[in-house]
Amino acid sequence: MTRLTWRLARPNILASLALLAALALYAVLTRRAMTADLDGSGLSACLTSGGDCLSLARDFTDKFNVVLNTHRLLLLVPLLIGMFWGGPLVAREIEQGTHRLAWTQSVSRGRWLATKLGIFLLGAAAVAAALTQLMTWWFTPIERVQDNFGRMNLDVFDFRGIVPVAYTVFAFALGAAAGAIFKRTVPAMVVTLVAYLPIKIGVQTLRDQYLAPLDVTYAFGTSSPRLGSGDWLLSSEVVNRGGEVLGSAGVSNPCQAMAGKAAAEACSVENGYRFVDTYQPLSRFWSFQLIESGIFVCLSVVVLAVATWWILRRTA
Amino acid sequence: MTPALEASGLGRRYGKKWALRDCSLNLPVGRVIGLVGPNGAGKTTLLSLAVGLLRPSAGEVRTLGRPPRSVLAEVGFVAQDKPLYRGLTVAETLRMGGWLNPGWDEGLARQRIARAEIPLQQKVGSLSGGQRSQLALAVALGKRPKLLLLDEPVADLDPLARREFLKALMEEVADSGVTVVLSSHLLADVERTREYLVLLSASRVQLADDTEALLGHHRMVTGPRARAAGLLADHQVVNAEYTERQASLLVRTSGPITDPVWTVRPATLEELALAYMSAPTADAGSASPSSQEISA
Repeated sequence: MTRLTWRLARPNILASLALLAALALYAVLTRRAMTADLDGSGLSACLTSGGDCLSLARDFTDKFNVVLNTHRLLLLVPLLIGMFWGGPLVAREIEQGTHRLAWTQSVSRGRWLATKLGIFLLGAAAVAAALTQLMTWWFTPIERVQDNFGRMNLDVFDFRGIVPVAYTVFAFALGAAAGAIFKRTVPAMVVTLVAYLPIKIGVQTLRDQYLAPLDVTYAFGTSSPRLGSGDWLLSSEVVNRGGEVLGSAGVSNPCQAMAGKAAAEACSVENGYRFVDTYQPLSRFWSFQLIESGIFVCLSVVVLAVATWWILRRTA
Repeated sequence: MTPALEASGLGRRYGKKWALRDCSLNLPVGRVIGLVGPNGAGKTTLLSLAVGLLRPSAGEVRTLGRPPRSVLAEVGFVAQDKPLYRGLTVAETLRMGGWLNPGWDEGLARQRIARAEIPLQQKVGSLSGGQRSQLALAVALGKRPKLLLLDEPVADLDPLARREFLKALMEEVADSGVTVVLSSHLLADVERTREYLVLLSASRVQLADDTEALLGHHRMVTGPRARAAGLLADHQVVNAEYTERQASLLVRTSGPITDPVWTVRPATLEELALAYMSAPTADAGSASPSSQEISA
């Protein structure tokens, strides 16, 4: 069964490898351009010396804005694997009637399914892991320049560590299950698309609650002691002496109207104003990775169980 | 001896519509069995139940004495549309047979392909209908099955390919003694091959017996219409056609017909099949339409 699965997957594997190679080439070329620019413009030296590199950094990000934005497209990789690997896995067999060939051989239907799922799940996980490695390497120049692009950043977190693998496994499971239930490739792909995104975004909205957030209080008019630590800042609020929240920093600075900096400072000291930042520290990165991966792995197990039950019991 | 296929009260329903109902059968091994019936009679449903592609909605089916899904290593099955992987070559398809079946006989399968003169390196997707059927048969036979189930194997073939296919099948049966169940909507397809006939019509089994026995039990009788009632009393009339004065009756005899007003001759299989197919309300297997239905 393993050999048949490999043989049938061959066109799919070749197409996926071609796409991966194209992506890798893109990453290598753009990263080379970025490092060359870092060195050439003196930004690299500036960052090492720890001076004020703001304008150089702005030039850099302006120049590579397109590149920075393309990384978001990689969010689609799990979805694409779910649609194009998971969707047809069972549906295409049923569509073309070959399930009547495959399910009447000496190899049982259960082993047929286990082999197919096993090989494709491993493949999907391997692709996701390889892409994650590539992305991490590709991202290092940008991380040097933009300290808010740390690993806990909402956008960056999704491409790091082990969560991309978990997303991919889940999207694949969704595609396979949808294919088994709807028995048609295109509806299976559409269902994968429609189901995956809300679940992915839904789980993401829970992320700031995985562990109770920490907070740090500091004087009005000073900058946060956590600045540049790579934490995930959830909120920054202005609080008065009584601990009452007056609003988000920068939005409603009650002493804003004061003429002159000194007067404003005096005003805030008088009222006991201070900042309170709520944040998830960078040190929780791996805990969060494990929690989020765990959620998606559990979801995958449920979806795969439904798919298995459907194929072994219902498709008869 | 374990029957090749055994069904009791077997039925399969799609929504409210029964594709097959009250099917009770006991098909012997070592025979070539023709499963005949019009399109939509339940032939595909019966064969799919026999290989576990479908589950019964009612009753039970046992293949070679065991639950269908547990016996697949000993059963060769070719579905109606001859499903094969289009992207594989002929050689790869045969190799696939080995990957999926521990008892695979590569030599036998290759021999079949060589005899049908199909190039091994050709893609399955570019084979003609006849070649595709031959390849599907080779894959089914390569398992060295005890029972071969073929669903409408020749329906989409031209007459020449049809003859070639049936010839190849019969050679194989003669060589290996495999039990074959062959379905068709045309009696002519199975005419040369059948030893045992199962007639399905309107989702029910109308007839299931050895062909020789069937022909021995049935007679075509013609005579004066006015005397038909007398015949009805003594024999089962399966089908009756009347002109103003004449009656043509297909009779399941329970003894010799001696009255000289009747002209009696043996029935052909075709007449038999048509007669039972046009008696759709007969009970499964028993083939005893009531006299009201016949005189109606």
